[in-house]
Amino acid sequence: MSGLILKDVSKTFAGKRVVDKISLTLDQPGVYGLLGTNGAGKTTTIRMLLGIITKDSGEITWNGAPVDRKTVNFGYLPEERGVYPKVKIFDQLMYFAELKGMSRESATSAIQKWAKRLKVEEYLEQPAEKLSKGNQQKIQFMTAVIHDPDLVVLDEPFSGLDPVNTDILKNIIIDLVRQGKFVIMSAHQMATIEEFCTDILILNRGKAVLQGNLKDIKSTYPANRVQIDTNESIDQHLKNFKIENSKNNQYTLKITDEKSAHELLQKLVDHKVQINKFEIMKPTLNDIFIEKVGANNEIK
Amino acid sequence: MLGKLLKYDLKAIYKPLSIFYGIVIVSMFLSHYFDAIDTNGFTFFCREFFRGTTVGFSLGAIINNAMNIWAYFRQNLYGDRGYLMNTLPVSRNTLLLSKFLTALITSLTIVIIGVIAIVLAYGAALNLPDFINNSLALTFQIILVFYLEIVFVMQCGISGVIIGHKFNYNKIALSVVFGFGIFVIANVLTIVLAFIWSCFDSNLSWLFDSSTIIPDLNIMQNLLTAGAIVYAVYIAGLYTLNAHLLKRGIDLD
Repeated sequence: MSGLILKDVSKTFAGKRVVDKISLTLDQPGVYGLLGTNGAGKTTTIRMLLGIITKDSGEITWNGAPVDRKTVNFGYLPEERGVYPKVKIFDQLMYFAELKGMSRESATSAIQKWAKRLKVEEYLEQPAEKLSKGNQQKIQFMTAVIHDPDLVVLDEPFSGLDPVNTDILKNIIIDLVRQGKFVIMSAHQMATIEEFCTDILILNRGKAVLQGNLKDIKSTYPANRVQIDTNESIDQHLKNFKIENSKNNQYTLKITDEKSAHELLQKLVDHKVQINKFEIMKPTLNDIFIEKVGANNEIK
Repeated sequence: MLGKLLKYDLKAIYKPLSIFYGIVIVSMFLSHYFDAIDTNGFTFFCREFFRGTTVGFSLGAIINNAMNIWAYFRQNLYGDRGYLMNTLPVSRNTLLLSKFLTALITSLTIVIIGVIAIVLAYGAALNLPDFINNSLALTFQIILVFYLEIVFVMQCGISGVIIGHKFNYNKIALSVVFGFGIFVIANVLTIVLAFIWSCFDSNLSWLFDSSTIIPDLNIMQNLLTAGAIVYAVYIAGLYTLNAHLLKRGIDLD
């Protein structure tokens, strides 16, 4: 079978099981989201997948064969900084590119291409320590993708990036998927995961608590909110609803079922309220995450 | 891939070493120069000063090289850089082999440069060229054992880093304790082996009995050959141990 498969992968540290029989399948190009609280086992899962740490049990295969970093063309963006602070950016990119099997010529051309795309051309001759956190993150991203990997693992890729650079990186990730790359992404911004990921795995204390296709998962949850945009106040019609947010005649309401939303719409129409928008919404990934993992856990 | 890795490893280690080499070579020439001209108070002081810096920086180069190799190994495999190094399409054995070859090559150049520099700086005073001419094989053996001991010390340090990390992430002190412990154990073992040998060979009794006469050159040469073999076995053993430990994976915290 093509793609990446993790089957019943487990890991124990000092008698504590930090990953407990995790399974996941990426059988077509796309972005797979890993979610979980602090210590849920996301990073350990990623590191076992990359072969940085050994698994205690289970199977990890790529295109049907056991994962081996000599045979799988990985690209990894670690959460921690892996850039060399005193070394010129160009030199360290060349270092990793060459060690990933590229010739000097093709590495130079790839560095120029990615530097232009990520808008870091002017920093290539500077040491990493002179760069901002966001630019260092972009350099680290370059080291992950410069050798055109098949499987890209991104641990908190948007950490330290401003909105403009976040947008640049988002477009690049979309392009990677278009080019047929498999991407695994761990991020704590639920909106980001929701925007990118076709499939997700939510971990809690080392165990998978929810996984599968994001659309399918969301379809199993009933609608729980309504968003309304009107030209006038409708507070008097909302006495039986819990208002989550209301501002400038824009309302977000909690609902228990879709029927109550339809009844509200009918009521507003009957009262000749001019409605600009009325949207019955499915729960967000954040809602699902909190339901599965618990509101008391810090999201990371 | 080993070639590329070795190129970068050598570059990283030779960079700080080049300062030591530069000082050793300049000191050697200056001590030689002051030795060649008439000796008075000032030139005598200069000659002795530069002889001192030649020896001092030769030894400094050995220490600097060992420290750099240990620190570089630790940073590369266990530090923040480890996250990238450990996902390269290079096996851990290749990573280890590259560091081992770097230690072999850099130590060899240090020994060669150091020996040449000391011979030129002190040659006239100690009749070192004569000694070398008369006892070429013995000189070579002494240098070889010294070289192997340096490499062995480096391997002890590498083993210390690996074992120390396995026991306690990022606690350097534990790595130092393990490295030093391996060095001490190996040396005690060497003494025990020499003692056992001396029980069966009366030519070696002088090693453990101060009342006996130091033997002739041939016995010294045999002993040095045995020393070289023992160090080579230790180095190979530690390399195998390191490779085995790394094969199990690196638990980066």
